Amino acid sequence: MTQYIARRLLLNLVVILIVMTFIFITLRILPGDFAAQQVSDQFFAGRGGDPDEALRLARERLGLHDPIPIQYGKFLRDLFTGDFGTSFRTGDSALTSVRAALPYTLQLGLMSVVIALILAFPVGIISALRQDSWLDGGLRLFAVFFLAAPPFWIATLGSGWSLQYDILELNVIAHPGIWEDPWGSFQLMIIPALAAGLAFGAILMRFLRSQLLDVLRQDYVRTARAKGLRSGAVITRHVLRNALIPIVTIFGISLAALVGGNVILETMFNIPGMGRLLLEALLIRDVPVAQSMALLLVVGVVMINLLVDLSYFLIDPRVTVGAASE
Amino acid sequence: MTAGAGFGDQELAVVALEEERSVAARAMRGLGRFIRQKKVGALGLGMALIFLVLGAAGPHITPYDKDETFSNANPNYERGSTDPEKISPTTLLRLAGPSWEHPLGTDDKGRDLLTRVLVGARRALYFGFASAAMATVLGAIIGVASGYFGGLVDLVLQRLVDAMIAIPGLIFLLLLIQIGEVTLFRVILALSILGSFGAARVVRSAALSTRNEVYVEAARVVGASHLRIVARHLLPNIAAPIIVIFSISIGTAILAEAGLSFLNLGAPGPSWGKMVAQGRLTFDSQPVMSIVGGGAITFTVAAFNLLGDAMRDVLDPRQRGT
Repeated sequence: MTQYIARRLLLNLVVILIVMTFIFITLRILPGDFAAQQVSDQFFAGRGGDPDEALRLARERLGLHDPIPIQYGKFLRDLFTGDFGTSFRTGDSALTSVRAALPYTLQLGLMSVVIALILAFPVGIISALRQDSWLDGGLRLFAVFFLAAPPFWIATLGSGWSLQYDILELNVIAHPGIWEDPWGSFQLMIIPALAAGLAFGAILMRFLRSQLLDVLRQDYVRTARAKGLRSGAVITRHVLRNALIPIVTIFGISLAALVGGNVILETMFNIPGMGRLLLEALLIRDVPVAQSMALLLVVGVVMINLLVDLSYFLIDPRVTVGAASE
Repeated sequence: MTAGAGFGDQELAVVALEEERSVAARAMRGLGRFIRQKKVGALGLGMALIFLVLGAAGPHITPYDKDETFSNANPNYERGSTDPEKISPTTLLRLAGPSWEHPLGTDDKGRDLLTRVLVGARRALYFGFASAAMATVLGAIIGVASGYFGGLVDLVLQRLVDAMIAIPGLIFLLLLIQIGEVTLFRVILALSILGSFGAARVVRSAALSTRNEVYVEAARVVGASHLRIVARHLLPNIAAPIIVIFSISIGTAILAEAGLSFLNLGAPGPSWGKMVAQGRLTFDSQPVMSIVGGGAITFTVAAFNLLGDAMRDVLDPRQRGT
């Protein structure tokens, strides 16, 4: 077991290294670095001087002047010593930007997951137990719709109508944090959380339904029914438990997508979370912030996947290390 | 083709024709059975056909051009006036409601919305099919290499795929398309690469379960080359999941492209994603633009999802519900 975890951690390290190298290289290939943008802004503002010289100085100051292999060496060294660099834009440590963004993304992610779970479990179970009824058909139609509808569209309609009918107050300018103004924060987050949660819930629900249908046909369920176990106990003790493994897998994959995937929703609602910060840093070529943000997201995703795989051991005693590494 | 020595050319042609006819007939019978047994899948097929027809013919049906703007006579017009309300003889027909001339009304720049929706369908058609086709081919190559050869090849390829999947999709797309000017082709290429990772995983697991089958082993024993084994024995047996992945990828690509366009970071031209974004700004006075743009995306993506799900049930029962 320890060996398995050690092996997985090592592989995860490789994955993280690949991602960071990929991000490093593409960020350097992208045309127009931060120095060039800064210098051209200065010249638009009417400050004279030699543009080439100004560009050279700016690059030197930002560390973009070195040849790329040397930059890469420094980047790796900094990565392993936990130095995330300073943001080109703010001049503060890049870690400060990341730390400020993290609570917003976690809040949005958590709210979406809660909405998805509240939706998926009852609906999935009802749908499976009443298979092929009108209710099942309606619920499946609902899932198909939210699986296909882009979350940004749902959020557009939701915010448009709730503003029109004065249901919510969206404070997109102050974007209140959860601790300062919980109610304001909730109002701002609820629509993006619903948009993401409904899409996520639709995936979970469909999956839960088909898993439950598979398990419901098993002999041990018939046996449990035959020996007179109450229907509720059959569902919770025999059916759900056996349907859980594939659901945990899907849950992990989607959770990982939620961690990094709310770029559009955060941008729409001006929520200063990690997705939006990463997008901004990418667009203005704020390399240290983009790299730190990407690192944190990737570590998050990779760790969620590991936890998902480890949870199999808890859920199903039949799972052994040999089977899990297949 | 194993033609016996006794066959003349003519007989061969007849055999080939009969075979062809029986293949066509089998396909037709299969389609008929599919429609009867899989009502929901048939609905998806119908919706996909509507999308295909509108995407292909749409820009030719509409009498207007996508950039044509429409105006009304200005009731306040006064000759020689300098008042901005009265200076022009016409006013732009902005955000008009539905009418006979413009069944969906006009957009924020006075252009016919239905025309824009139809031109957007053409765009989604390009993005969906081109990206899905390339993603499937690329994913199949990675997946087969990984699943068939196994070992170190598998380990390396899978870690690469894991790594790329860990990057948020939209960020991955932006990193690729911003390397140069954002063109239609570049976006399609980026969408294909993004889509190929998911496809590679599915194809890999299918190839993995097929490579130890007796017929693959038999081919290996008689000395068939790797290429031959893959082409003649492996691929035909994993065609089902590949076809399903293709159908699902169409929807995924359209969704991803819509997200890019929504943020105005996609290729230029009318698009459903941009329509939602523009409509959002004028939602109070004219919500039709947002509703229609997003509705078109949802309709199309749902069509290919439903079709893919039903095909999976029919072609590849092992994967049901994944």
